[in-house]
Amino acid sequence: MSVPKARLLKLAELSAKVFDQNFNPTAARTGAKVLSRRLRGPSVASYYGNPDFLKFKNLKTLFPDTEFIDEEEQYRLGKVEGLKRRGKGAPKKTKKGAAGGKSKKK
Amino acid sequence: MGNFRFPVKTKLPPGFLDAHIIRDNFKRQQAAANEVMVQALKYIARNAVLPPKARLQAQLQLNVMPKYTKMTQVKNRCIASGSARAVITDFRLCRTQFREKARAGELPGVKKGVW
Repeated sequence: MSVPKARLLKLAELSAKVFDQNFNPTAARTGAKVLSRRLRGPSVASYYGNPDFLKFKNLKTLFPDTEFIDEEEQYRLGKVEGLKRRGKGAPKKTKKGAAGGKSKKK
Repeated sequence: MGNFRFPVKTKLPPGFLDAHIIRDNFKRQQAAANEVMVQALKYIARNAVLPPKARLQAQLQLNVMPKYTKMTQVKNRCIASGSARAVITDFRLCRTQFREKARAGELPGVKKGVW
């Protein structure tokens, strides 16, 4: 027993209506592919984390009475101190930048 | 305000920062903000049922939009080192950072395979 094509089409149309799908028998380009794509903006934007995440420097303003110790900063300061003691610290700032020999043009 | 590095001012993400990450973060924020617009224009441009003039206009408008509004500009980078190579997407880390963190026990549930 063969089913006429028109009837099959009608069935497809009905089925599409029932299951909330696109009915496009001529396969015309309707852009449905673009429209049905999921929006991935939120996940893309939050890849590097929340920019309002609490930072160490905010802690002091939030809790003025408590003292916090920044271990990394402490380590850096210790290193600078050690360098200075061995006479290998940063050079002293010159006044007005006049004595800067390298950057001076002749 | 003085000059800002990018056309639109963007908040800096927490954690490790370098020029690549800052740039990629900017693109991500802009791509997310313009996603609906781009998708709507694309829908009009790709819809053969609509009049050709409208489709052409939509395509022109798409072409005029800056590169940083497009999703294709976004690149997954390592959040701990900024590297763009061998990034394990699930952890958002490059392979070396993944190894180091896993060995230090900073990644819950990750352990070295032994068999």
